[in-house]
Amino acid sequence: MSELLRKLDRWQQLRSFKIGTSIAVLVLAIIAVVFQAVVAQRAAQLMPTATMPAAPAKVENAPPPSTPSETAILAQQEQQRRDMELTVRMLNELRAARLSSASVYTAIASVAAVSLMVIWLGLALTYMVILAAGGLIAGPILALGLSGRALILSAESLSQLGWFMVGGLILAAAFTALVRAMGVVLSASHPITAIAKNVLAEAVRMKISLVFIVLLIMLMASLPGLLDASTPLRYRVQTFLQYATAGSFTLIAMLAIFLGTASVCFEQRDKIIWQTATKPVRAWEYVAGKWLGVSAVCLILLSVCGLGVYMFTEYLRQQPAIGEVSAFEPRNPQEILTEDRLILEYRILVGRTSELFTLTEETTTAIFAAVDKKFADAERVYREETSKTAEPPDRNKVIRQVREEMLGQYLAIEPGQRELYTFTQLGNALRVGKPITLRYVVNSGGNLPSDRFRITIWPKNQPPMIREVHLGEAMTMTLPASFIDAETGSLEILIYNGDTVNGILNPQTISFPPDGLEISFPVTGFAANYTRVAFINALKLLFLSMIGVVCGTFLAFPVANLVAFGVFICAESAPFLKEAVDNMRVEEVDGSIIWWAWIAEKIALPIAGAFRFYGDLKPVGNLVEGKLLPSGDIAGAAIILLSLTAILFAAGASIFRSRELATYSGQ
Amino acid sequence: MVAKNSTSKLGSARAGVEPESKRMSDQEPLIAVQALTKTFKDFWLRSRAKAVDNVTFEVRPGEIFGLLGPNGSGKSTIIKIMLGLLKQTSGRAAVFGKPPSDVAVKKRIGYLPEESYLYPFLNARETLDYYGKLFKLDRAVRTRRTDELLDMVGLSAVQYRPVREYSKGMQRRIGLAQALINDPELLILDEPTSGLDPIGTRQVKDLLMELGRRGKTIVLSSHLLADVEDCVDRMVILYGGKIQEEGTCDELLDAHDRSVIETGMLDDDTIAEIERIVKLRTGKSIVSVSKPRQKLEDKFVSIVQRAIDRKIETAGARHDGKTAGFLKGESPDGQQLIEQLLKADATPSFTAASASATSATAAVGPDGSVLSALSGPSLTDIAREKARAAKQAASVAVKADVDDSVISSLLGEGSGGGTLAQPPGNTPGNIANNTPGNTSGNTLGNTLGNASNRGNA
Repeated sequence: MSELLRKLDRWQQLRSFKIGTSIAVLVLAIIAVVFQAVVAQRAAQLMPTATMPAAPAKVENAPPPSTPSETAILAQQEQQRRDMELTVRMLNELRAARLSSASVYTAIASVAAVSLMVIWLGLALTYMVILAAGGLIAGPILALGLSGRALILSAESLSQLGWFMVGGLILAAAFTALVRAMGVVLSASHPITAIAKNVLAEAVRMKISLVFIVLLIMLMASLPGLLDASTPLRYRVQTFLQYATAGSFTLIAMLAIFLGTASVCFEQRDKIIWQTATKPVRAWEYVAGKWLGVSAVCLILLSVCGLGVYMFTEYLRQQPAIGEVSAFEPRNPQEILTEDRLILEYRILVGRTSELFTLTEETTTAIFAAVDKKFADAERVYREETSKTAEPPDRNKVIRQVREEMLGQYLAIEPGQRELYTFTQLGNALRVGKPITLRYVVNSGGNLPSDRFRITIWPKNQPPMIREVHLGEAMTMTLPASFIDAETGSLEILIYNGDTVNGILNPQTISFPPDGLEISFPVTGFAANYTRVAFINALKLLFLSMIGVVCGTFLAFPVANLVAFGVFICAESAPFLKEAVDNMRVEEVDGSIIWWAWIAEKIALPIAGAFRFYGDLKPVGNLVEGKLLPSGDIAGAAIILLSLTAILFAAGASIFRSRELATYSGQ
Repeated sequence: MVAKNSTSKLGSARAGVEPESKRMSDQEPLIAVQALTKTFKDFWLRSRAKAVDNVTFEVRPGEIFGLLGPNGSGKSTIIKIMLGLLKQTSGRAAVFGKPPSDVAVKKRIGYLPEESYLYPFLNARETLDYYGKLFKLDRAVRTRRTDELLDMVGLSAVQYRPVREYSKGMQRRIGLAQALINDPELLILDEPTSGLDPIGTRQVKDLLMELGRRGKTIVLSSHLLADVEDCVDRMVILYGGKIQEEGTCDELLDAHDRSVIETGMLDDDTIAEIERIVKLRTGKSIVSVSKPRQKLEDKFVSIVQRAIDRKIETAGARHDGKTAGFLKGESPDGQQLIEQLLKADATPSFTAASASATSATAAVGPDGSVLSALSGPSLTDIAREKARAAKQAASVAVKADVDDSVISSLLGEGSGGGTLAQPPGNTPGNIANNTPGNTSGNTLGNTLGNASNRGNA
């Protein structure tokens, strides 16, 4: 069987086969074009007559036919009218067909182009098998499921299974095409590309890495089936984006590390490296080749998954949201957009940027005045202090203290009181004209989950809006961009501690954390934001691939894996690690040190600090929340990650060069 | 490519001819190993084993050099140091006058490890293509060489099977092919015949001799002494990481105290008459008279050859491959051809010299074309052919030294195959085996290291 498959694979890669099938495709395309042209021409010829002739004028209140012959004549006339209607409808359909000739030609050209590409990638038979599997297995199962018929499984299960198989086949087709295309790209006669292409072949043919690839394709194909159709569309989209993007990235990252270490370690353990190292291959070329190969595999998988995620998200977008009869068509004719659709379109499937409130001039002046006073007091105390044991006052420290105090006061509102918050630099939001989002986090006392507070949000020159808030949780509110002052590009919002409309006050003072009040607005679409996320993920994978390869150059496989995975986990969890360390108690109440906590802190802090840049990127979190990854952050991440990759590469090449490859035992 | 393992024996003495080893010693050594020592250390950097101990030797261009020794004697360690896979603890190793780790050096080397360590997921064609790319060979050259090498090692029919499905011998063959993909100037072979069947072993030996004729330098290590004996010009014998003995095959192996005469089958009377003559002339008696039976190897080869002739299908390696054209200097790559043509045009004296010094076959080239003649023998080939001609002259001289009357009394009287061995002592004849091969006529010669025969193989 495997011999037969190998023969077929060789066959589809023969030049003669490619030429033959290409000619066949072109002939079919020409036939299709000619057929379409004939149809369009006939439709055009029939067009002038495709109007309904004037019906014989009906006489108002005409008497009913008195004789059977008259009745027959009337029936015949009615029949003729119907025939005419039918003819006109058919002609109109033909007309519609003629009108869409351009799109038909485009479709023919696209299908032909894709077919030719597939043929010249040497995948014609592979794709025919995939199409056959789709048509003969997945298609009937899906059809059964969609038609509501049960066969062994329920109709719903059949439908899910059908979609799963279709998804899997599409992803497999995309994967094979990209692998073959990458093989063509890496076909240059150079050690680096040769080694990279070899890694590609290793990844596809070795069971150990194939497991990851199959798992990934299955995960991607099965995720759509796990979405709960009864939940709001925005949650379905967010859930899918979260699991698909994070899941695929995690699996690919694991593959990058695993393949990177395995490819280098096993080559040394099995002594295959001897054959390569005795050829004119420099150490850096070997490391670069391995890295390029592993990266190529990862980027192919990332592209396949990215394409799948993007396309399925767009598919979900076309599904009816809560309150819609069909996509973008609210059940209530009075509504322009349902809330579900509004949030999905303007908060999730976009790239939003955000602005925090700015301090008013009064507050800033007050802060400076307070700083001056406090600093003067501190200096006076210091001058009067005769022993001079205390340190002289630090103005920066004073500024920080005062600012924190004043900000705390500014962000706290007592029951029944109000505070004005101003958001500036919203000119872009006004230009884009899409709804903006106010995000707020309200704290009060111990933030008990049982407490429900009401606040009044009153944008300038607009009616007040009452909101019930869950303490300590981020809440959002969609506002039209027209609320922004066109002249200043700012938005002023008064916030009352209580329900001013109904006169209900909250029992305690409320406060906002420093980053707990922000206005965000979309500046790009989903595609652009998704591309940025994919780019960041790709950079991370390049970095992880290098870690895997470099660890493999001087460590045995288990240790190399352990180290590489350790780095990966530390990097991914750096923000959590930092937060955990910040909240960890190192001293007892009496001031004595908790040694294990102290040691853990000393180890964890440098790790968290070293990978802070990596963890803070949070591409998936930003994507799910519809936040735009800022260009500056992306550029910074690119510089840092690529620099680290380059440093690792130099270290790996240097280590590899100094290795005695013939003494490696693999243990 | 069934071996025609020539057993024609030439005279042992090389009177009047400068020994090849002496001639080659005048050239710059291609590999120079001086006071080489390698000590393996453990994790704590404590000395664990001294694999190579103060070894010094040189390998000259065009030489087939043998590293002999039992397991653990340091052969492979020396080879790995020469390839840059290990670093010496002390001493010096230089290849082409440069450190072994130099990439420029590696371009000119072909290496076959003691086992073929290949990518199991690649097939034979992909394997050769991969190694060809490491040498930056362009696509056309890679394809042609791959085709020729696969044909040579008999794996064309199974070239698309993954290497992991190959038998050990087949893997060995593909390993040998990859070592030759760059048409190396220096071929380093670690146990080249291990894992090969007898025909494969013969093919490898034939190939080595053919490459040797083309002026390639070959270093091979083995503990299969018969393999080495058939091929090498010079050798070192190692034990415990030290050189125990060094020299040419002649120097190390020639037995100057006995003669072997090989004829057709003789009856008892004739043997008695010969013994009488020998005793009369020399006062010595015949030690042994053998009626040799066919060697198992020859039987094996003939059976396989019959099977090949009958075109019996095999899932394994075929044994009828021809030596790759590029290894024989045929059909060189375009640029190389132009260079050779230019060189031939610019230096007519060399061409003329080669024409006069080499045999007609060598001068015209394997396919009889002028192009092959121009692209065929290199200057080193010419030097080697000169040496061969000198050897032939020496053999004629040796023949002339043999007592004519003894020979004439032996010739024409035999009626079958037989071997006479004349020992120094007067012990009566014992039956002994020898190698008649497929020779049907009478053959006369003294046992001689096959190194002298390389030119005629």
